[in-house]
Amino acid sequence: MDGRVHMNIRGKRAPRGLQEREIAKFRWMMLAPGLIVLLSINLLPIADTILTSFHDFYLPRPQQKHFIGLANYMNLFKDSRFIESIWRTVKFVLIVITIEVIFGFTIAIFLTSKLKTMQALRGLFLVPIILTPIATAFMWRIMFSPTLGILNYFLEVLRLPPQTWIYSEEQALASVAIVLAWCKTPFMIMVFYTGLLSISEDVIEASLIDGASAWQQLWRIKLPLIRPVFFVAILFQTVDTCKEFDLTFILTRGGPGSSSETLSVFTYLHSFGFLRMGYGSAAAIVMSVFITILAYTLFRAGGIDFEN
Amino acid sequence: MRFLSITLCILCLVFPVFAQGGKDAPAAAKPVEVSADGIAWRAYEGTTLHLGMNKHVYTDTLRKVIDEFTAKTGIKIIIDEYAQDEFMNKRLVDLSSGAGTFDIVMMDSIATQAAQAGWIENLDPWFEKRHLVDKKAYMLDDLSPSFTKAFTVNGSLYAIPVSGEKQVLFYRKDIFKERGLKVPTTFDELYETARILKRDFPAGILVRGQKIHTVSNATGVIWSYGGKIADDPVQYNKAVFNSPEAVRGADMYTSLAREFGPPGIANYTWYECVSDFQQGKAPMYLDMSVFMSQFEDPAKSLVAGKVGYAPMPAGPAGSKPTGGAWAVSMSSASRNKDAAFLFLAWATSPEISTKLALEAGIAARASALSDPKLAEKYPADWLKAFQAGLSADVPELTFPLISRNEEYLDTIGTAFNSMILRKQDVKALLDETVVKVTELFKDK
Amino acid sequence: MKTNIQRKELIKVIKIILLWALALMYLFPLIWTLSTSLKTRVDALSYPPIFFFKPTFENYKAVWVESDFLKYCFNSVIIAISATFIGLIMGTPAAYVLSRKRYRPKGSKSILMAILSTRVVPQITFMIPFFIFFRKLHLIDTHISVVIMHLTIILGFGIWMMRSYFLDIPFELEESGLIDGCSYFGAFSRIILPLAAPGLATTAIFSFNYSWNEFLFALILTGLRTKTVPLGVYNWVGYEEINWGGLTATAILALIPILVFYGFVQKGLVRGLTMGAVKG
Repeated sequence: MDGRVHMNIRGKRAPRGLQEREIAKFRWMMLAPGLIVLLSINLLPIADTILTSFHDFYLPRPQQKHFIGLANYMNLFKDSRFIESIWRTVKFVLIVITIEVIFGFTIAIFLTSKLKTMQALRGLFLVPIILTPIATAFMWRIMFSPTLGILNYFLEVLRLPPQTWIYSEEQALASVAIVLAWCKTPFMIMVFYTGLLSISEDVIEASLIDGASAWQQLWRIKLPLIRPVFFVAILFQTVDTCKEFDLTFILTRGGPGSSSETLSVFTYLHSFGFLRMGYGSAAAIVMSVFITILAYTLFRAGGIDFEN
Repeated sequence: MRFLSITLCILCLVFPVFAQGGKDAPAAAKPVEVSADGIAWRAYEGTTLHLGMNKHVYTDTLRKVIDEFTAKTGIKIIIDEYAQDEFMNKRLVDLSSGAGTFDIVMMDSIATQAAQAGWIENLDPWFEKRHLVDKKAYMLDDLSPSFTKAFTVNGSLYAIPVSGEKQVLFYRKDIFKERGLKVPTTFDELYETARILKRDFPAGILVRGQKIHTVSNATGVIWSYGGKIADDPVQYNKAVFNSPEAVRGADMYTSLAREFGPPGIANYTWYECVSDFQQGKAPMYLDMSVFMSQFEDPAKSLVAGKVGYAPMPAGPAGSKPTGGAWAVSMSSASRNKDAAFLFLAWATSPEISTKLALEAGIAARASALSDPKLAEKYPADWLKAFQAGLSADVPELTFPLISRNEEYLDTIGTAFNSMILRKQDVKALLDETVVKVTELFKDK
Repeated sequence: MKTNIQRKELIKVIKIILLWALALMYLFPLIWTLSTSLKTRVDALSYPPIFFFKPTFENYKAVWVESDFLKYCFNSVIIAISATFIGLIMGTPAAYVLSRKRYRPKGSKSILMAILSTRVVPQITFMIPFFIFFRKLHLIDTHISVVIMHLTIILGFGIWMMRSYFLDIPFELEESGLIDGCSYFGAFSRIILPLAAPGLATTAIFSFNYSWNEFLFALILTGLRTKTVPLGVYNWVGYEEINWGGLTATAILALIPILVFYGFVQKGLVRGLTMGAVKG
């Protein structure tokens, strides 16, 4: 505790014990509803999944479900398709986050400039994330078409070679990544934008007085100040990108071959396609652990601390 | 902190009480009152039936006759329709949890799995219930055997086919005429024609290339070369599609795709193929007859009126097209089984089937398909191609009657897809795949 | 001096052009979706693509007539607003307490990690257990079940986001309020909350957006009565065809409610910002 003098609501100097109890009451009243609801609805299915992952469970034959310990996990790590999907997911996340951060930040900076046209465009920039992902996926699928798609049309006009996008092994994963990044960049834009806005004017004025150029202002002052929000945003985006399923599935279904089969597609195929619930659950758990490790690495890198 | 943990523990204990699956007890049977034809039409008045349907032409057509049924029986019908992938998920969750949200479910290649798991009802005993159906008038044999076989598990019928399709060849009459090309009747001719056409079009021929989508079409080509998927069409002891004939068949299909297909064919589903054909990007397309309606509608297709339909070309063993069908089945968890069967039998009876066939050109009954009025509505050559497909003598079912059919599609589809992606030793690849598929067969 | 001003003007013009180019590129898929919804179905897929055409409203008419768009909208709005609202009401106080050294419980780090861990598990694993659970409670095809499932994500997101916004606000501000005789809750609601308005707005918008566009839980837990907008969009994908006109028209129409919501929240954001400016 910091050694300051605290007053209670009656303005009198309250004894330490009473104050502690009041704080505790306040604290739990604020925390309890959210925590109880969140943890109770989440922890139980997670426990259920972990339990299933220790069994061999083929959904149409529930009577044959039996305990096999860690066998599912061991088979997963021997499954080259699974290992490859982990690497693909890493690649996928890297591409998506990089594009999102670069674009998001650039657009946010432009939006904070005082140009009037920017203010008008602000709402419009949010739209990609608002558009229903299903519609986005189908639209991009037809835009990517090598024979009928508009993207290749533009390439043709610019005299660039046509690409096969989601229809080719080499480009499928990157193409899906582009679509996801396109879709989610507005989130980054908003985060950067509100972060930049909340930097108080005094700080900026002070830096101007100190003779900082716009560029220096950006790097040395603004960026560090919005760091906490920025890293939370990246954290959530990373987690969500790892889990992303709908878009990938509609665009490529993991194909051609398995070139765009990320962890989430792998898990879905084994759980709801092949109905091997035990194996699929194990894959889901490994996926969760993987994401947690990723998140933790980001913590360390971002210096997110738990103190003020 | 302690308060929190206690609350969590209590909630943990509560959840499992609810999380058990399980079936509710079925409603008790009412004493039945029959009409003149022996069927208790109005005995279930006031019941509501829920149909879980795929977004399919059949569903649209069925909606048109629902009111007639309600007027006749007083049973209300609610159709809950979903797009295909959604439908698969929703159906799976409903059936496997025994929830009984749907009384009647549209059924496809997962019929074996669903039947074995006890998710859908065995319909044989239901056909004996005279107060629900007149078996003689119903003419079970009229249902095209090439379709009912796929829904017969352990000798019993589990779902009634309602909409059948067969592999046919679509081609552009105008382009063929312009260039003086003959409609290919063998695969070698098809190959040559595709090669010629590829010079001027993005694709000489369209076929499905995406992993699991290749399987049904490639199987037909394998059959036409004399190959088979399984050794025995009933027992499924081991996979035999690495025989020399099957290898040649698989090679033909994948070569057509790889050499004369559009760029990106390796991830082409029926959707991309249909769009390309509609926009005139390719003059030939080998796939299921059901797409005819997509090509003949000028609101969607640039080539309406210019499309010709031919039976699937023949390989050395003849023309053996694959096919498919959607069917309707009854959920074992339904609480209104009598009413549900009444509806099933009515909707798939000869009269109603013919009505639906005239409406939309889809049917699974021989009597409906040979109705002369059908010929007026649909292109004659399409009917001929479809009939040719139906009467072809095929060695086995399109999809093996095994429980793990999704995995089957994935395994064998990966092989075909990989052959489309790059030229390689077909025999070696199929040898590997045969081993994996035999494993799946063993798990009956 | 003159050249300096000229140069500034030039830079400004370049900036504007660059930005418009960027905006156009970025928003192009959206523009394309809009134009597809105004084309006839056969034109929608034509190649070379048709840029200039006579717009038709037949797709919008089809959406209105053939699909239950209003019902889907209504359901989605109810679910999204409830989930966002409940999420904020429950999550923001929790976030506040977790951000203040003074109020934080001892195990706060593990609490935060537990919250984050609820987010790392792929949602599909929840599908079957929750379906059974809600069915037993006869909550299938109700709004409540979907709201609860959306809360699994929104609460976690809200707590983490708001916490980082609260971290930016120095404790001295509450301190002075407390000394002046404010209650703990009063200090929170009257001093801190208005300052965190931009954060609240951002969290609200993205929570609403998540719920509005969420597909999987809506699919499993809804029935005919409570079908939501994403399911409505998917309805245009059939067994032998995809109805582009209907699909894109539904997607464009689905933008409207959320843009309206955004408009409302924006007002709050602007208000919060001006208040923040006053406080300095």
